Amino acid sequence: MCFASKLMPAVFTESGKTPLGEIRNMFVVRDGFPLGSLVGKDRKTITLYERIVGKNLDTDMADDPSNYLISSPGDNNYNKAVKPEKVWRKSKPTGWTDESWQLSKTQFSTSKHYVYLKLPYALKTGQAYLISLPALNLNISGAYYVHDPAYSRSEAVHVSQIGFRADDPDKNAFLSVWMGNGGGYTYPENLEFSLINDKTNEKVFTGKAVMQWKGNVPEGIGTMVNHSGTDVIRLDFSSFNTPGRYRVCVEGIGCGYSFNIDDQSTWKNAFELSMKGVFNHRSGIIMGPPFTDFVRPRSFNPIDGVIVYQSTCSLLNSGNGLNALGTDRNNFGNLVAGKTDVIVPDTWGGNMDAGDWDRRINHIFTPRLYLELVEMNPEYFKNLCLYIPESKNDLPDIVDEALYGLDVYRRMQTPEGGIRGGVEQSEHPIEGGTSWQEIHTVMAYAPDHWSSYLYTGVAARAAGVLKMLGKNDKAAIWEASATKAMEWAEVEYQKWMASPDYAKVTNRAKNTVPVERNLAAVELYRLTKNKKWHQVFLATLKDCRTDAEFVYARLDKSMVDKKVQKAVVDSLMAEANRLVKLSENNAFGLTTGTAGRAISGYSATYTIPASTTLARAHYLSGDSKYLKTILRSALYSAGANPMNMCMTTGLGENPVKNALHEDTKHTGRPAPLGITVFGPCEIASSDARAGSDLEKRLNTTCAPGVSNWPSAEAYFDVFWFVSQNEYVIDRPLGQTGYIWGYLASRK
Amino acid sequence: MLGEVKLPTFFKLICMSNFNKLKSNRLYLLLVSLFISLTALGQTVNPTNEPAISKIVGDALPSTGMAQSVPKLSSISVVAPDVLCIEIDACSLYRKW
Repeated sequence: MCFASKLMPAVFTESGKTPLGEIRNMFVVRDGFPLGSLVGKDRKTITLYERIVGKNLDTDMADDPSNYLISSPGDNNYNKAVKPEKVWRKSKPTGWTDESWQLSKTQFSTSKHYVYLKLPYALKTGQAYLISLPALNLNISGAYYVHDPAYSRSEAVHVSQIGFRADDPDKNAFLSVWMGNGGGYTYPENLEFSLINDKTNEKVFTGKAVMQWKGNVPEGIGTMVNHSGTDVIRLDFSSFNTPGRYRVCVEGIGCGYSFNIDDQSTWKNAFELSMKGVFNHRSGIIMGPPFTDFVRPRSFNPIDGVIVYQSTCSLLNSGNGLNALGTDRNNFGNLVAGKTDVIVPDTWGGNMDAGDWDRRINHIFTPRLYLELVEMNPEYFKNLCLYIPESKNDLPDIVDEALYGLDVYRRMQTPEGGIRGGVEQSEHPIEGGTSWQEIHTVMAYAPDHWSSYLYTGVAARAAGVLKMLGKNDKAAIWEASATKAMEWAEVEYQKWMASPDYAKVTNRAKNTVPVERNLAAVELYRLTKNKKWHQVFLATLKDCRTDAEFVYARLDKSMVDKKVQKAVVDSLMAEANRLVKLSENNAFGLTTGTAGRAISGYSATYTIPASTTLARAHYLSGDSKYLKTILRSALYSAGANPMNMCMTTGLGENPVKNALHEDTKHTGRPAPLGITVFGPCEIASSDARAGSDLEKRLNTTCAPGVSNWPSAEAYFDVFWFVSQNEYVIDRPLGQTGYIWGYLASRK
Repeated sequence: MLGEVKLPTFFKLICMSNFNKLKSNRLYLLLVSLFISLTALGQTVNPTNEPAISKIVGDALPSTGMAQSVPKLSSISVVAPDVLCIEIDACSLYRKW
């Protein structure tokens, strides 16, 4: 026994209040030792802080060339052990302890270090080398490396871990390395690479590497700088289309992860994973096997006593939405100020975010995309089983998943037809709490015309898909609901514009609402053939975007103004052509960024596989240049990036691990499958910008300092780097499922 | 319980038995300052060998034995014919449950 005294009683401290006076955080400290925070009903549950174990690398020792010796009996250059000429290093955190933001300003991290040894002589193929490094005090004092580039995996070879459909017209891998304080590496031109059958080790394809992007050339995306910090070489094996499992290997260097080429399963597997990710964010039901390995009690369901109060604040006027009048100083002020004692029934369901558990109307961008996939290829999706609770009914599972995300808004529709913008708590979740332990007051937004237009478009699309599938009874329910929402919104929209307050409305709101009105009108026209809605669509063409263009482009000639139809098709194709150019002007072929606008945190520029517009252009035209651009753009998030990391949980050999999923983090479990995170960004345009608290935390581990990392590699897989590791249902989850689903289902 | 001060026995004996012989004020002052210095030193000694528990959130607990492992060499590869890449993973999170 080494403790001479008894444990002292715990000390509880409170921190923060919501605008309704609710206590937010309650921390527990015993004997000066921080234990965790109290969460849940009556604060009877403690969430313990995570702690870190293990010893850090002595980086001073690791950076000293004299601490390494390389020897080889079969290589004359290394018969006598030699030291490296130089040592370079890059280090980054790989996980942070789950602890209080308010008590700790450091957040302890696990770390990964890449130590680069510049050798005096090139290694010889087939020879074994002993790398001796006892001074580093690692788990082993040395290790053998056999240099066989046809078998050894190299960090420099970046390959999609999804693989390819055999008839994909663009199949590429990349070669690049940025060595931290060693900078980029310049590879010689025309390196030979090969495709090796993973089962037989037979070389089945040989090609020459081509320069994709020089490391000193600015890219035409983001702030127009070079985003890789090194040369990016492309390895093109597009002409190879024999199904099998392969690895790409570069002469003298090594191989990437193995991957599949096949006729059916690659993109389909990825699509199913993404759909499981969205399923894992269903609010209001119990989660668990056999539908998912993510286990969670039912959350936000009135059956369990959750009460949802009506607020007089709409999402249109909330900081969580458009903050149309600019009056919301924080995201919850207007919502809470408008709380009433009126209880809103039937508020369960929909898809919730992981960090806030809200259900907001913009989440239905994702059902909108899923329904579009079904429209494009109903036969493919008809029998595609996603193993969800509705899998035994007579609807395609993807339609069930779309309707689950949509239905909560229909159930909350007011008798007059108005659609509420969603359900939200009075503040962000308390520290350490989970969705089923929420203690804040929960409110539903007041209906508004923006939410109603948005809903109308998706509900009308759902009705159309149900009609197409022969489910007329169900379709009639959605059609009636969509029509009522549109009619209500039209009246409210006119009132809004006529009100004295309209002069105070922000430009963002003034520009956003009409876009949804235009789309709602064309969707309702397509569904009902009521010319009234055609007229609204035609009268608002200046607000027409690609979602609406794609609807009008596919309407039967008998229903359209032919000139307008041609114009919208031309407009859509022009946008797709712009994206093709954008893809050609950056190292990894990305298609969702903008030239001249920073690749910011939350933007998901690197992790949305490709722009949805390209899929629509390919569908309409059949032109393979759009398909090729999608395939090139989709490589990065699938693992063909400088980190060799798949940006979706559960995907490939090396997936992202610390997605901001509070339910699992606070219960000590890995994040559920299928979450695509916001991902890398230009650090200066993120919450880790120079001088920020987050920058300081990252720099306790990062070498070089985080602001010096090229953005193609500036992803830090740590839970509380919110603008990189958070995600929302409508970005990038929706687009990810859509693009992977399109690539799987395309004809 | 940290810092219970115990003067070494030999020092106590010197103080008690020879006190009357200390005629010089200078010697007396020297002994007093020595006493204070040793007291301060004594407070830094942990007489019961108690583990020092960090009161910093997220810091490692003592007595976690093998969990306090050294960094692991996880991979050696080549990124160029003349550049070796050594990957090292350090530390891990101690899960809650």
